[in-house]
Amino acid sequence: MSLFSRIFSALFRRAPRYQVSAYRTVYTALVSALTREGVNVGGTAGYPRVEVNSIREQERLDKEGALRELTVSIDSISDRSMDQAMTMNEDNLKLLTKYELNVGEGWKCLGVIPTQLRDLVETTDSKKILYRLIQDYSIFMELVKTDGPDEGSGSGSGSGSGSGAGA
Amino acid sequence: MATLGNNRRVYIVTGSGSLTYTWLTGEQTNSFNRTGEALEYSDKSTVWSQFLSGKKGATAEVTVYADDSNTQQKAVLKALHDGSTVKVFIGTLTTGSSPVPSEGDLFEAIVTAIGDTNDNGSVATRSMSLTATGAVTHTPSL
Repeated sequence: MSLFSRIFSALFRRAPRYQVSAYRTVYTALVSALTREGVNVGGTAGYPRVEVNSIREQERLDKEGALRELTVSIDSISDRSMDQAMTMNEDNLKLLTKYELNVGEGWKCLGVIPTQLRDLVETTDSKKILYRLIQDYSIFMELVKTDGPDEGSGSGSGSGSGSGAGA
Repeated sequence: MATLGNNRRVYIVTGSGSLTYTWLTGEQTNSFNRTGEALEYSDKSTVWSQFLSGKKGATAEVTVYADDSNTQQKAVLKALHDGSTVKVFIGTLTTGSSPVPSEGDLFEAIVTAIGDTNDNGSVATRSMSLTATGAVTHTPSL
Protein backbone atom coordinates (compact mmCIF):
# COMPACT_ATOMS: atom_id res chain seq x y z
CA MET A 1 0.00 0.00 0.00
CA SER A 2 1.40 3.38 -0.99
CA LEU A 3 1.99 6.17 1.48
CA PHE A 4 -0.81 8.18 -0.15
CA SER A 5 -3.23 5.25 0.18
CA ARG A 6 -2.34 4.85 3.83
CA ILE A 7 -2.91 8.52 4.59
CA PHE A 8 -6.17 8.51 2.60
CA SER A 9 -7.54 5.42 4.33
CA ALA A 10 -6.52 6.77 7.75
CA LEU A 11 -8.30 10.06 7.10
CA PHE A 12 -11.49 8.62 5.63
CA ARG A 13 -11.73 5.39 7.54
CA ARG A 14 -15.29 4.47 8.42
CA ALA A 15 -16.21 3.98 12.04
CA PRO A 16 -16.38 0.29 12.90
CA ARG A 17 -19.92 -1.01 12.51
CA TYR A 18 -20.29 -1.90 16.15
CA GLN A 19 -19.62 1.71 17.19
CA VAL A 20 -22.51 3.12 15.19
CA SER A 21 -25.60 4.01 17.23
CA ALA A 22 -29.07 3.19 15.96
CA TYR A 23 -30.54 6.18 17.79
CA ARG A 24 -30.55 8.73 14.97
CA THR A 25 -31.91 6.24 12.44
CA VAL A 26 -34.74 5.13 14.70
CA TYR A 27 -35.70 8.66 15.77
CA THR A 28 -35.83 9.91 12.18
CA ALA A 29 -37.81 6.88 11.01
CA LEU A 30 -40.27 7.19 13.90
CA VAL A 31 -41.02 10.85 13.23
CA SER A 32 -41.43 10.09 9.54
CA ALA A 33 -43.72 7.10 10.16
CA LEU A 34 -45.94 8.92 12.67
CA THR A 35 -46.41 12.10 10.64
CA ARG A 36 -50.00 12.52 9.35
CA GLU A 37 -52.69 15.13 8.80
CA GLY A 38 -54.19 16.84 11.83
CA VAL A 39 -51.56 15.79 14.37
CA ASN A 40 -48.42 17.69 15.35
CA VAL A 41 -45.47 15.31 15.41
CA GLY A 42 -41.89 15.64 16.55
CA GLY A 43 -42.05 18.45 19.06
CA THR A 44 -44.12 20.90 17.01
CA ALA A 45 -46.16 23.18 19.27
CA GLY A 46 -49.93 22.74 19.59
CA TYR A 47 -52.39 19.94 20.22
CA PRO A 48 -53.21 17.20 19.44
CA ARG A 49 -49.59 16.15 19.50
CA VAL A 50 -47.52 12.99 19.23
CA GLU A 51 -44.03 13.03 20.68
CA VAL A 52 -41.21 10.56 20.69
CA ASN A 53 -40.86 10.78 24.44
CA SER A 54 -37.70 8.74 24.90
CA ILE A 55 -35.46 6.29 23.10
CA ARG A 56 -33.21 3.97 25.04
CA GLU A 57 -30.73 1.89 23.09
CA GLN A 58 -30.05 -1.32 25.00
CA GLU A 59 -26.83 -3.27 25.09
CA ARG A 60 -25.83 -4.81 21.78
CA LEU A 61 -27.31 -8.26 21.34
CA ASP A 62 -24.56 -10.07 19.47
CA LYS A 63 -20.77 -10.00 19.63
CA GLU A 64 -20.39 -7.90 16.50
CA GLY A 65 -22.97 -5.37 17.62
CA ALA A 66 -25.11 -5.77 14.52
CA LEU A 67 -28.31 -6.54 16.41
CA ARG A 68 -29.84 -3.83 18.59
CA GLU A 69 -32.85 -3.52 20.80
CA LEU A 70 -34.27 -0.07 21.48
CA THR A 71 -36.98 0.77 23.97
CA VAL A 72 -39.09 3.66 22.78
CA SER A 73 -41.86 5.67 24.48
CA ILE A 74 -44.33 7.53 22.29
CA ASP A 75 -46.59 10.10 23.89
CA SER A 76 -50.05 10.88 22.47
CA ILE A 77 -51.17 14.21 23.96
CA SER A 78 -54.62 15.77 23.65
CA ASP A 79 -55.98 18.97 25.18
CA ARG A 80 -59.55 17.80 24.54
CA SER A 81 -60.13 14.30 25.85
CA MET A 82 -58.57 10.98 26.70
CA ASP A 83 -60.65 9.54 23.86
CA GLN A 84 -58.72 11.66 21.37
CA ALA A 85 -55.43 10.54 22.92
CA MET A 86 -56.55 6.91 22.62
CA THR A 87 -57.44 7.39 18.95
CA MET A 88 -54.01 8.91 18.27
CA ASN A 89 -52.32 6.04 20.09
CA GLU A 90 -54.27 3.46 18.08
CA ASP A 91 -53.27 5.24 14.87
CA ASN A 92 -49.63 5.18 16.04
CA LEU A 93 -49.87 1.44 16.65
CA LYS A 94 -51.25 0.85 13.17
CA LEU A 95 -48.63 3.05 11.51
CA LEU A 96 -45.71 1.47 13.33
CA THR A 97 -46.70 -2.18 13.52
CA LYS A 98 -48.40 -2.48 10.15
CA TYR A 99 -45.71 -0.85 8.09
CA GLU A 100 -42.86 -1.29 10.56
CA LEU A 101 -40.17 1.32 10.11
CA ASN A 102 -38.84 2.41 6.78
CA VAL A 103 -35.36 2.99 8.10
CA GLY A 104 -33.46 3.52 4.88
CA GLU A 105 -29.92 2.53 4.08
CA GLY A 106 -27.61 0.78 6.48
CA TRP A 107 -30.27 -0.67 8.77
CA LYS A 108 -33.09 -3.16 8.68
CA CYS A 109 -35.97 -3.09 11.15
CA LEU A 110 -36.72 -6.62 12.38
CA GLY A 111 -39.89 -5.62 14.17
CA VAL A 112 -41.80 -3.14 16.30
CA ILE A 113 -43.45 -4.69 19.34
CA PRO A 114 -45.84 -2.69 21.56
CA THR A 115 -45.20 -3.38 25.24
CA GLN A 116 -46.53 -1.22 28.09
CA LEU A 117 -49.18 1.49 28.00
CA ARG A 118 -49.92 4.06 30.69
CA ASP A 119 -52.05 7.18 30.98
CA LEU A 120 -51.45 10.55 32.57
CA VAL A 121 -53.72 13.55 33.10
CA GLU A 122 -51.95 16.78 33.98
CA THR A 123 -52.64 20.49 34.26
CA THR A 124 -50.30 22.97 32.62
CA ASP A 125 -49.22 26.31 34.11
CA SER A 126 -51.93 27.95 32.00
CA LYS A 127 -54.55 25.66 33.63
CA LYS A 128 -55.01 23.62 30.48
CA ILE A 129 -55.75 19.93 31.10
CA LEU A 130 -53.68 17.53 29.02
CA TYR A 131 -54.67 13.91 28.42
CA ARG A 132 -51.68 11.73 27.69
CA LEU A 133 -51.23 8.11 26.70
CA ILE A 134 -47.67 6.83 26.75
CA GLN A 135 -47.07 3.67 24.75
CA ASP A 136 -43.78 1.78 25.01
CA TYR A 137 -42.34 -0.24 22.16
CA SER A 138 -39.43 -2.60 21.69
CA ILE A 139 -37.78 -2.05 18.34
CA PHE A 140 -35.28 -4.52 16.95
CA MET A 141 -32.74 -3.28 14.42
CA GLU A 142 -30.05 -5.02 12.41
CA LEU A 143 -27.10 -3.45 10.65
CA VAL A 144 -27.21 -4.39 6.99
CA LYS A 145 -24.09 -6.13 5.75
CA THR A 146 -21.82 -4.02 3.62
CA ASP A 147 -19.02 -5.05 1.31
CA GLY A 148 -15.55 -5.29 2.68
CA PRO A 149 -14.18 -6.47 5.98
CA ASP A 150 -15.31 -4.83 9.18
CA GLU A 151 -13.18 -4.08 12.11
CA GLY A 152 -13.98 -6.48 14.84
CA SER A 153 -15.72 -9.04 12.63
CA GLY A 154 -12.64 -11.19 12.30
CA SER A 155 -13.56 -13.12 9.19
CA GLY A 156 -11.13 -13.64 6.41
CA SER A 157 -8.78 -16.15 4.94
CA GLY A 158 -5.38 -17.22 5.98
CA SER A 159 -3.21 -20.22 6.34
CA GLY A 160 -3.25 -22.31 9.44
CA SER A 161 -2.72 -25.87 10.51
CA GLY A 162 -5.80 -27.86 9.58
CA SER A 163 -4.95 -31.20 11.09
CA GLY A 164 -2.66 -30.56 13.95
CA ALA A 165 -1.19 -33.07 16.29
CA GLY A 166 -3.24 -34.00 19.27
CA ALA A 167 -2.39 -33.09 22.76
CA MET B 1 -3.71 -10.78 30.11
CA ALA B 2 -7.44 -11.10 30.54
CA THR B 3 -9.60 -11.25 27.43
CA LEU B 4 -13.16 -10.11 26.86
CA GLY B 5 -15.61 -12.85 25.90
CA ASN B 6 -16.63 -10.64 22.97
CA ASN B 7 -13.28 -11.30 21.34
CA ARG B 8 -13.32 -15.09 21.61
CA ARG B 9 -15.65 -16.14 18.86
CA VAL B 10 -16.73 -19.22 16.95
CA TYR B 11 -15.49 -19.44 13.37
CA ILE B 12 -16.48 -21.99 10.77
CA VAL B 13 -13.33 -23.08 9.00
CA THR B 14 -13.31 -24.02 5.34
CA GLY B 15 -10.68 -24.91 2.79
CA SER B 16 -7.66 -27.16 3.02
CA GLY B 17 -4.10 -25.94 3.25
CA SER B 18 -5.06 -22.28 3.22
CA LEU B 19 -7.91 -22.09 5.68
CA THR B 20 -10.69 -19.53 5.76
CA TYR B 21 -12.14 -18.51 9.11
CA THR B 22 -15.64 -17.08 8.92
CA TRP B 23 -17.39 -15.84 12.02
CA LEU B 24 -20.62 -17.60 12.94
CA THR B 25 -22.75 -14.53 12.33
CA GLY B 26 -25.07 -13.43 15.13
CA GLU B 27 -23.09 -15.18 17.84
CA GLN B 28 -24.22 -14.26 21.31
CA THR B 29 -22.29 -16.64 23.56
CA ASN B 30 -20.08 -19.68 23.35
CA SER B 31 -18.55 -22.11 25.76
CA PHE B 32 -15.78 -24.61 25.17
CA ASN B 33 -15.18 -27.55 27.48
CA ARG B 34 -12.10 -29.75 27.40
CA THR B 35 -12.28 -33.14 29.07
CA GLY B 36 -9.82 -35.87 29.97
CA GLU B 37 -10.76 -39.30 31.25
CA ALA B 38 -9.31 -40.58 34.48
CA LEU B 39 -8.34 -44.27 34.36
CA GLU B 40 -8.04 -45.67 37.85
CA TYR B 41 -5.31 -48.17 38.64
CA SER B 42 -5.47 -48.08 42.43
CA ASP B 43 -4.31 -51.05 44.44
CA LYS B 44 -3.96 -51.93 48.11
CA SER B 45 -0.42 -50.62 48.39
CA THR B 46 -1.80 -47.18 49.28
CA VAL B 47 -5.09 -45.79 50.58
CA TRP B 48 -5.02 -43.10 47.94
CA SER B 49 -6.69 -43.50 44.55
CA GLN B 50 -4.37 -43.46 41.59
CA PHE B 51 -5.17 -42.52 38.02
CA LEU B 52 -3.73 -42.49 34.54
CA SER B 53 -4.69 -39.86 32.04
CA GLY B 54 -7.07 -41.40 29.46
CA LYS B 55 -8.88 -40.23 26.34
CA LYS B 56 -9.20 -36.53 25.84
CA GLY B 57 -12.10 -34.72 24.22
CA ALA B 58 -13.94 -31.46 23.92
CA THR B 59 -17.45 -30.14 23.54
CA ALA B 60 -18.67 -26.69 22.59
CA GLU B 61 -21.94 -24.83 22.95
CA VAL B 62 -22.72 -21.75 20.91
CA THR B 63 -25.80 -19.56 20.89
CA VAL B 64 -26.54 -17.36 17.91
CA TYR B 65 -29.40 -15.21 16.72
CA ALA B 66 -31.14 -17.46 14.21
CA ASP B 67 -30.55 -16.46 10.61
CA ASP B 68 -31.54 -19.00 8.00
CA SER B 69 -29.93 -16.98 5.23
CA ASN B 70 -26.52 -17.18 6.89
CA THR B 71 -24.07 -19.55 5.19
CA GLN B 72 -22.27 -20.57 8.38
CA GLN B 73 -25.43 -21.35 10.32
CA LYS B 74 -26.71 -23.34 7.35
CA ALA B 75 -23.46 -25.31 7.25
CA VAL B 76 -23.94 -26.39 10.87
CA LEU B 77 -27.59 -27.29 10.24
CA LYS B 78 -26.57 -29.30 7.19
CA ALA B 79 -23.90 -31.13 9.17
CA LEU B 80 -26.54 -32.24 11.69
CA HIS B 81 -28.92 -33.39 8.96
CA ASP B 82 -26.21 -35.17 6.96
CA GLY B 83 -24.33 -36.58 9.92
CA SER B 84 -21.18 -34.93 8.64
CA THR B 85 -18.57 -32.87 10.48
CA VAL B 86 -17.77 -29.18 10.58
CA LYS B 87 -14.37 -27.65 11.21
CA VAL B 88 -14.53 -25.06 13.94
CA PHE B 89 -12.16 -22.58 15.54
CA ILE B 90 -12.99 -20.96 18.88
CA GLY B 91 -10.80 -18.08 19.93
CA THR B 92 -9.26 -14.93 18.57
CA LEU B 93 -7.78 -14.21 15.15
CA THR B 94 -4.99 -11.90 14.23
CA THR B 95 -6.03 -8.58 12.73
CA GLY B 96 -5.28 -7.75 9.12
CA SER B 97 -6.52 -8.82 5.75
CA SER B 98 -5.62 -12.50 6.20
CA PRO B 99 -6.33 -13.33 9.82
CA VAL B 100 -5.01 -16.54 11.33
CA PRO B 101 -5.55 -17.94 14.83
CA SER B 102 -3.74 -16.00 17.53
CA GLU B 103 -5.23 -17.85 20.49
CA GLY B 104 -7.80 -20.63 20.65
CA ASP B 105 -8.69 -24.16 19.60
CA LEU B 106 -9.23 -25.71 16.19
CA PHE B 107 -11.13 -28.97 15.85
CA GLU B 108 -13.40 -31.07 13.68
CA ALA B 109 -16.79 -31.66 15.28
CA ILE B 110 -20.04 -33.52 14.91
CA VAL B 111 -23.20 -31.61 15.68
CA THR B 112 -25.16 -33.24 18.49
CA ALA B 113 -27.99 -30.74 18.97
CA ILE B 114 -29.49 -27.57 17.53
CA GLY B 115 -32.28 -25.91 19.45
CA ASP B 116 -34.23 -22.85 18.37
CA THR B 117 -35.86 -20.57 20.94
CA ASN B 118 -38.62 -18.30 19.71
CA ASP B 119 -39.72 -16.15 22.63
CA ASN B 120 -42.43 -13.52 22.40
CA GLY B 121 -40.84 -10.09 22.08
CA SER B 122 -37.30 -11.34 21.49
CA VAL B 123 -35.04 -12.10 18.58
CA ALA B 124 -35.14 -15.85 17.82
CA THR B 125 -32.03 -17.65 19.05
CA ARG B 126 -30.39 -20.92 18.09
CA SER B 127 -28.14 -22.96 20.36
CA MET B 128 -25.80 -25.51 18.84
CA SER B 129 -23.94 -28.33 20.58
CA LEU B 130 -20.72 -29.66 19.08
CA THR B 131 -18.55 -32.60 20.07
CA ALA B 132 -14.98 -32.71 18.84
CA THR B 133 -13.94 -35.75 16.89
CA GLY B 134 -10.21 -36.29 16.76
CA ALA B 135 -7.49 -34.03 18.02
CA VAL B 136 -8.00 -30.49 19.23
CA THR B 137 -5.22 -28.13 18.15
CA HIS B 138 -4.44 -25.32 20.51
CA THR B 139 -2.88 -22.05 19.35
CA PRO B 140 -0.29 -20.99 20.39
CA SER B 141 1.10 -24.50 20.51
CA LEU B 142 1.53 -25.92 24.00
